Amino acid sequence: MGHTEMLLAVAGLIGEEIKERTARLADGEWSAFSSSERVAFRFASRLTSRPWEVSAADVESLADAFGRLRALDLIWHVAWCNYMTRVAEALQLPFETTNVFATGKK
Amino acid sequence: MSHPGRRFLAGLLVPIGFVAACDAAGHAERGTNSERTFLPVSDAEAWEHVPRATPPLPSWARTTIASLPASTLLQLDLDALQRAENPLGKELSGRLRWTVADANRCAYAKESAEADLVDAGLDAEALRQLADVDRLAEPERLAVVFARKLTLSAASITDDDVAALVAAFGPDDVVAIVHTVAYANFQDRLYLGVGLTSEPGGPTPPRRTRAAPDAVFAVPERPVPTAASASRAVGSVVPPNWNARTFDELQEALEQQKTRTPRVPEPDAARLARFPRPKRGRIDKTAWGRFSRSYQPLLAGAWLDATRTFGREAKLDEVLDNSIFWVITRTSDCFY
Repeated sequence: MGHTEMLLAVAGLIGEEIKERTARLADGEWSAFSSSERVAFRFASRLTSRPWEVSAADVESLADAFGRLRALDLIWHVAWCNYMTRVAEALQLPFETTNVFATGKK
Repeated sequence: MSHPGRRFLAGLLVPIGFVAACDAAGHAERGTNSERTFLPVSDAEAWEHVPRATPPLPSWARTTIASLPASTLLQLDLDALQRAENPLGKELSGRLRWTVADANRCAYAKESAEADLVDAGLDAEALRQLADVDRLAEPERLAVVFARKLTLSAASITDDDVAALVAAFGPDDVVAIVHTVAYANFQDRLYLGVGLTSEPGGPTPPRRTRAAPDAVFAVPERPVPTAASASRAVGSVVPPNWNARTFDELQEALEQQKTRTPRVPEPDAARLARFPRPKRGRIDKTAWGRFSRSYQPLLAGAWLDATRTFGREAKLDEVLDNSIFWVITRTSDCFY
């Protein structure tokens, strides 16, 4: 389990649900997800890989799907994730063998 | 009367009305004694004698503060720490932030980094040559090359890349470099996401807010979007251009990461012992926290405080927010 899976467990998903959800996320099509979720995933992927290509239309889609305030939260969250992954990747930090978030959230 | 907002009183950014509302009712019980030579004034009057400054805020903060007030104050503080009190010094940290902004094509952040570099003593000619990495002396050149790589292709960084940095800078400064680059990547995405290109009137200087992570301000409700707005928004979702690793291969990589040797030495117990209990136990819970806070307590501590505050204010749906996190790790080809 990686940290994202550990946190999905903290969010209430059980082992099989986590596996099923991440497998569906991994296909990159996201057809099994709601319209809003697909907008969020697409936006997150773009702001991560090519942030300079994020357009006003992308932001508008996010705001249409989630509302303006929640869209701002999601932009912040995506930016936050990009901090966390860079530290982990640069230092190649080892994973814990148990769910370290189980008794206290991030 | 105690209120978390009071912790801001030493800072610069406390709304006066907020303080007055907190304290208006609290002090009548103390009473006054007309026989006394020295009488205290009311709280409201007392604070009028020391008006707090209301310096200009950067556009990003004025964009986020209404819906994420405490988070914004903490990020302003962290921004100032990163820029003015960075353990790497103003010049190297400014060069790193400029390099990240250049890679991310974030004009807003480049403008800010250039202003800081002028403050650090760079002249116009040196500013023009910022992109010419080969003009830099070692080991600064090494750090700047690393910053660009960590920004654009973090997964391609090798053990040798980091070993060379550690040999040149030592583990403390390497962790500072990593956190400086990571923070610049956070900021650039926030700026680009909210559509900022330039600061009217020029970049604002770093300014500590000394905000408390447990301060509580009113946060507006996030309306629940309607089904109609969601379907209008989806349009056509183009699948991301991910590499060809299968789901099983990704799972295997996660397993292998459990026994990975990190690229900087495991921090010794004395570093961790600087933190009081029970905080020490929380820090030691994850390798991310242990390495980050042991080697860079200031930068990483401020970041994690801001993280918790954002979680409290935004209250994102945890399944959605961690699914997004998963998508980001996959997009970055990061094991996390």
